[in-house]
Amino acid sequence: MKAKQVVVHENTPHGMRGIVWSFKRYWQLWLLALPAIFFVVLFAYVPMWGIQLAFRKFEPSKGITGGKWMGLSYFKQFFASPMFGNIMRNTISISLWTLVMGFIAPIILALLINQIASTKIKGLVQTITYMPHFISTVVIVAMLNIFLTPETGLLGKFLGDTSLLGEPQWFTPIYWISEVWQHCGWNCIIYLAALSSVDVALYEAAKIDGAGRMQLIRYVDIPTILPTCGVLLIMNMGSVLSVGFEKVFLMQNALNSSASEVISTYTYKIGILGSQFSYSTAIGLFNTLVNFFFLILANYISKRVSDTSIF
Amino acid sequence: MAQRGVWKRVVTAAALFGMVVPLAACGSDKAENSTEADGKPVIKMMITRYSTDTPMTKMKWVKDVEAACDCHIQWEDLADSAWSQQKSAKLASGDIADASIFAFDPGDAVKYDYFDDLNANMDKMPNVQRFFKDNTVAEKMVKDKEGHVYVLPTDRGKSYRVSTSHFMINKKWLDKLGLQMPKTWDELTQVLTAFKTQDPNGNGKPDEIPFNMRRLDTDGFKLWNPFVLLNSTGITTSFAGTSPSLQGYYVKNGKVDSFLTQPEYKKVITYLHSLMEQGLVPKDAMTRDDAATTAATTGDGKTARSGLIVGWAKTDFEKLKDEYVPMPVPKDSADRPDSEVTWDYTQDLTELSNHGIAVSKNAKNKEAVYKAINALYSPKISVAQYYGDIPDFVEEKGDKVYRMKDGCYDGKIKCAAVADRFAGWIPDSISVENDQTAEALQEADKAYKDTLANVDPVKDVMPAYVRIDSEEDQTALGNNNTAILSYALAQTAKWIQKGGVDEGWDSYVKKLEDPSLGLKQNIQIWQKYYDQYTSEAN
Repeated sequence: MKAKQVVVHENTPHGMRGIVWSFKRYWQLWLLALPAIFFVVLFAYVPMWGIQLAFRKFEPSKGITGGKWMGLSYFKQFFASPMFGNIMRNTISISLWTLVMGFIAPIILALLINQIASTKIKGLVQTITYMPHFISTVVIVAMLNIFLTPETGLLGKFLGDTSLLGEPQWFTPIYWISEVWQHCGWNCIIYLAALSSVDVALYEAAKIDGAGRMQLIRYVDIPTILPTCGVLLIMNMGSVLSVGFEKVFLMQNALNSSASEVISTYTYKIGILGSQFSYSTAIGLFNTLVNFFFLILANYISKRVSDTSIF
Repeated sequence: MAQRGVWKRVVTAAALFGMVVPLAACGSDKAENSTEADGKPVIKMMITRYSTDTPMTKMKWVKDVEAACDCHIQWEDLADSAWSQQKSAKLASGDIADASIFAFDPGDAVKYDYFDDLNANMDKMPNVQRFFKDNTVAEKMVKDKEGHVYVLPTDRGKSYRVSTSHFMINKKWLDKLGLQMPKTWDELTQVLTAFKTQDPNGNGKPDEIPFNMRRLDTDGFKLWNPFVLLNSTGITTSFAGTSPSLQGYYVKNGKVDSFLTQPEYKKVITYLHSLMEQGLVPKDAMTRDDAATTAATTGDGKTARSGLIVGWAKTDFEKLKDEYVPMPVPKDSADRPDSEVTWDYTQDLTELSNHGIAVSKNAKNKEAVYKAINALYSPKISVAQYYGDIPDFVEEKGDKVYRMKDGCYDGKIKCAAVADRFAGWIPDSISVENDQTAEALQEADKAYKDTLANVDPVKDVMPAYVRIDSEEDQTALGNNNTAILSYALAQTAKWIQKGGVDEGWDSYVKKLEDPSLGLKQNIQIWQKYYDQYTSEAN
C-alpha cells in the first residue's frame, strides 16, 4: 500500500496555510473534485441539519428549528414502545441473514464461474445470473406470491395448504433467499474482475507443483479476492440494520406481520401515515447510529486482522 | 502560451457556469401570477381522484364554475395513490393549493394551521348555508367546538344513504340446489358446504369459492372485511371512512369499548376458522392480494365462482350481477332474538364525507374562491360533478329530476365525472334516475332494513361527527393503535388460519389489556370525545 501513496513534499506547510497552499498548488485537481464535493455536501451534510428534528417537537408552521426542545424523549418513547423488542429482533435477523448469505454466495458463484474454460459459456452464465438484478422489487414480490400460491404455484404446489408467505418463521428465509437469488450474479462481477487480474504464471507455477483444481482455488484465487471481500464486507456492515423498505413492506401481510415488522416499515407507519415526523426521525437516527457503530467495528477488526480497511 | 491560458479560462468559466445554473434554477420558481392577462383572478385547485384520465378542464361544468367566480381555475390533478404518499409531506411543508378537494379532513386542521375558517365567510356561500340548514349532521361533521369550519363536507344524495357493506349471495346457486336463504351461522355453513361439494355452477370442476373472503390488513380493518359478522352477535360495526371501528372500537348503549377483547370477537374468529378448516373460504384468504379476491368475484363474466362475498352491491359482480342477491344478516345462533342483531352502520359515512373542500389561509384571491365554492355547491353543478356533464351525459328532465344516459353503464359512452371526489351537495329534493349503482345499493340495503332498525345511530354507533380535537390525543391514539393492531391482527389471522383461539385467547386478552399497549387509554379518549359531541347534539 505504501508505494501507492503520494510522496508528500518535504516542505509542505500544515494547518490553514497548508490548505491554502494545497489549493494553489493543485487547483486543477480541486476543481475536478469540486462537483463531487459539492454533491456530497449538498446531499449528505446539509440534510444533517434536519437531525435536530429527533430532539424537537416538530411544528410545521415554525419550521425545523422552531419546535420545542424535547431532549431524548422520542428515543425513550421508542425504547419503551411495546413494539421495540419485536421490531429489533426482526430487523436484525432479516439483515444478518441477508448480509451473511448475500456476502458468501457471490464469492462462491464467482469462483465457480471462474472455473469455466470457454469464454462463451462463461459470458452466458454470467449474463443469466445477473439478469434478475434488473427486475424491480414489486415484480419480485409478485413473483414470490405467485410461486408460493398453494395448489397452483410453482413451489406452492408442494408446500401444503397455506402460502409460505403466511408463516412467520418462513419470512426471513424467503426474504434472503430471494434476495440472494436476485443479486448474487450482479454482486459477483466485482470478484470476477478481481479474479481476472490473477497472474497466469501463478496458476502455471502451482500446477507444476502439483496443485489440483481445489488447491488452485484455495491458494491462488481466494487470496487474490480476499482484500476485495474485506472492503465489501465492511461496506455491507454499514447497512446492517437497513433492511430495505419496499420488499419487506410488499411482502407483509396480517399473518406474517409478527416476523415482518422492521424499523423501516414501522417508521413508515408512524412517520408518514401517522405524521409523527420527530418520532420517526429519532427512530431513523437510532438506526443510523447502530449502523455507524457496526461499520467502525468491522473496519477496526479488519484493520487489525488483515490490514485491509477503508479508512 | 497565451492562447492556452485563454482556453483554460474559457473552459473553467464554462464549467463553473454549468454548475451554478442548475442551482439558480432551483432557487427561483416561476413567478406566480395571481391574475391572468385578462385581469381575472387565478385560483389553484387541487383534486384527488381514482384515476386522472380525463383532465379536469375537459369537463364542461368547470367552465360554469369559472363563469360564476369570474376567475380562472388552474387544476392540480392527483391520483389517490400519489396523494397518499404526498399528503404528509405536503402538510409538513405547508405547500397547499388555494383550494383542495377530497384531500384534507378536519383532523388535519387540528394538527396544521393552514386552513381558512370558512364559517366566517359563510354569507358569501349561500348554497353551503342552505346545505348546512338542510343537513345538520353534515355540518356537525366539520364544525369544531369554537364554531370553525376548515373543511366543507359533501353530500351525494339520499340514494346513497345506505350501509357500505352487504353480504351478497348467489341466488342462482341457492335455487339450483334447492336451498333456503340461511338465517343462522350453522345454516350458512350448510349452504356454503353445498356450494363447495355440489358443483352449483355446473362446469364439472370444483372451482367454486363458497365464501370469497377478503384478507385482513396489518394496520386495521378495511372496508368489506369478514368481521361484519360481529353484527350477528349484536356488536355494531362501521367499517368505512374515518370510523374508529376500523381500529376495533365500537359503541353500545353510549359506552365505547374495543371489540378486540370481547367474547363476540372470539366467536367470530372461531366461526371463520371453522369455515377455513372445512375449505369454505380460500386457503390463502389471509395472504392473498385484494386483486385476487376481486378477480374471483367478477370471474370470467360467464361462470360464477363466488358463492358469497361481503361487498357493496350486485354491481360488484359486473356481468354476473343478476345471479346475486343480498343476504340478510345471519344470526350467530338460532336462540338470539332478532332484536339483538345489528348491521354495519355506515349510512352517514356513505352519503356524506367530511373531506370535501378546504381553502388555504394564504389563498390570494379568497373572494373568487368563495364564489367558486358557492357555485360548486349549487345543485346543478353538484350533479354534473358527480354524474357527468349536463346535457352530454346527464339529461335534465325537468325541475329537480335528472337522468343518467344509458350508455354510461355499458361503456358505450365515457361519462367523465369526478364521482364521489366531488365538492358539492345533492339535496334530497333532487332525484337522479338510472343511477344503477345507487339502485343496486338501495336494493341491497332493503334486505337489511329491519336489522338496521335495531341500531340507534347515536347510542350504538360512533357518530360520524365525533372527532378527536386535540393533537396530543390524536398522537396517543395513533401510537397505541399501531401497537395494538399489529399484535391483535396477527393473532387473529393466525387463529383464523390455524385455529387455537380457545387456548390462546386468555393470554391474548391479558396482553391487550396490558397498560403498555394503551388500549384502555384509547377507549377513554374515544369515550371522552363521544360524550362531548353527543351531549352537544342534545
